[in-house]
Amino acid sequence: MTFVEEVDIFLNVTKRLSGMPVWRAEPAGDEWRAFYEIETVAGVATGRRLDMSVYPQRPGRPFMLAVVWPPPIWRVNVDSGAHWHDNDKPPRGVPRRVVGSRYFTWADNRDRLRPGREARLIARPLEPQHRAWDNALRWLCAGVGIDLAGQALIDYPNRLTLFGPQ
Amino acid sequence: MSTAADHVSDRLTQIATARNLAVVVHEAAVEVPTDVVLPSGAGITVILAGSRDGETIAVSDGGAAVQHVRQLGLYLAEADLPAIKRAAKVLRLDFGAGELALKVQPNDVAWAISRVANGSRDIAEVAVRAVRRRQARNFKSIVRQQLSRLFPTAIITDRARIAGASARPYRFDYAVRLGGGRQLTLDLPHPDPTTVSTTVLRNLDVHRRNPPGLLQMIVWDDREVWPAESLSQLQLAEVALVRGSTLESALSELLGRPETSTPA
Repeated sequence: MTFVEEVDIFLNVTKRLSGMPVWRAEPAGDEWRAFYEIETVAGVATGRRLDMSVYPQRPGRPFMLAVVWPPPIWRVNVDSGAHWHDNDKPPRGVPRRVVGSRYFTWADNRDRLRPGREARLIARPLEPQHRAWDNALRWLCAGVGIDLAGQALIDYPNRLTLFGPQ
Repeated sequence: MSTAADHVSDRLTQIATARNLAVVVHEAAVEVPTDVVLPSGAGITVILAGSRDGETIAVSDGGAAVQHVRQLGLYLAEADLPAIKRAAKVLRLDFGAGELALKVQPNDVAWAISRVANGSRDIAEVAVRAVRRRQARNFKSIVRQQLSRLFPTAIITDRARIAGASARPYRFDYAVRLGGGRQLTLDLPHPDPTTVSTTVLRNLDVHRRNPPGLLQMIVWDDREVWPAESLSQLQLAEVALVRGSTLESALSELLGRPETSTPA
C-alpha cells in the first residue's frame, strides 16, 4: 500500500487521542512540545501523533499543531500577521500569499507530501474563530477525524516556572 | 525616555506602513516580515528587540530555522546542535537559544535583518541534514548491534570495499565474514531517490560479478515511511531486500544457523 493510500484510510477512520501529554522543553530554543498518541476508537495504536509546539515567551504566544505521519499531514500554525506563507500554484480560491495564521490540509497537499521529501505546501488562511488554542485544537481534530467526546484537552501553558511551563 | 529600540521600531513601522507591509509591534519586540522564503514556502520573519542598555538592537530569526525542521515532522536532538552551531559561526551569527541572532547598533539594523533572514534559511537546511544524518546513524548502529549479537565471532567490517563486474570498487555499510568462505554484505539506504539509485547500482554491479560465497542484502529502515516506487526500485538490485524490523529472522532464514559463524 502506498503512503497516499495509507493516509487516506487513516483519515477516513474515526480515531481518538490517548496518553497524558506533558510539556517538555526542546533542546534548542524556547519551544515547548507535547503530544497525544492517536488510536482507533477500538483502542488500537495507529503509531501517529498529534504534535503540539508552543512558544509562550515569544510575542503573540504562537503555536503549531500537527498530525505527524511523518511528514505532518495536517498542520495549523497560529502566529502574528508578520508571518506569511507563499503558495506555489495555488488551487482556485486559495491566495498566492497567506499572511498570519494558516492551516495545511491533506486534501490540499495530497499530491505534494511524501515521506523524507521537502515540499512546497499549500496553506489557507485560518479563520479568526479557530485561532484560540482550544478552538484550533478542536478544529484540527474534527478535520482529521479525531473524536474528542469526553476528552480533556491540554491547556496552552500560561506561565513559565523553574520546572517549565504550567 | 525614548531608546534606540523605540527609534528603530518607529522607523520600521513608518517604512512598513509606506510599503503596505505587516510589521507587528509588541510590547518588547517588533516582528518584521522579510522576503526570504524557506523551502516549504514559509516566509522568514525577523524579530527586533532592544537591549537593556537601550543602545543596541538584538536581531533574531525568532527560531524560524528550528521551526522549519519541526514543520517537516523532524525533531532536533542535542547531537544535532554542534553542526548547526558550526554553520552559524561560519555565517557569523549566534545560535544561542535556538534562535539565530545578531546584536547591532541601530544604524545597522537594515543589513542585520537581511543577514539574519538569509542565514536562517541556510541554517534551516543544515539542521534538516543534521537530523536526517543522525536518524541514518541510529539505524546503522541498531543493525550493527544486531550483527554483533548474531555473529559474535565473525569479523564485521564497516564501510567494506567490494568490486563490481565493472571493476569499480564500492563501499557497503557492513560486510560480515562468515564460515566456509562465505561473506555477507549489507547496504542500508535512506528513502531519498539518490541513495536508492546508487544502492541499486552498487548491488547490481557486484551481483553481476557473482563472487563465490557472497550474499548480498539491502536492509531498509521500516520505521520510516518509504515511497512505494523507492521500494520497487530497490528490488531491481536482484538481491535480498529486508525490512529492518525483520532483519534477525531474515538472516536466520538466509544463512541457516548464523550463530555457527567463524572468521574465514
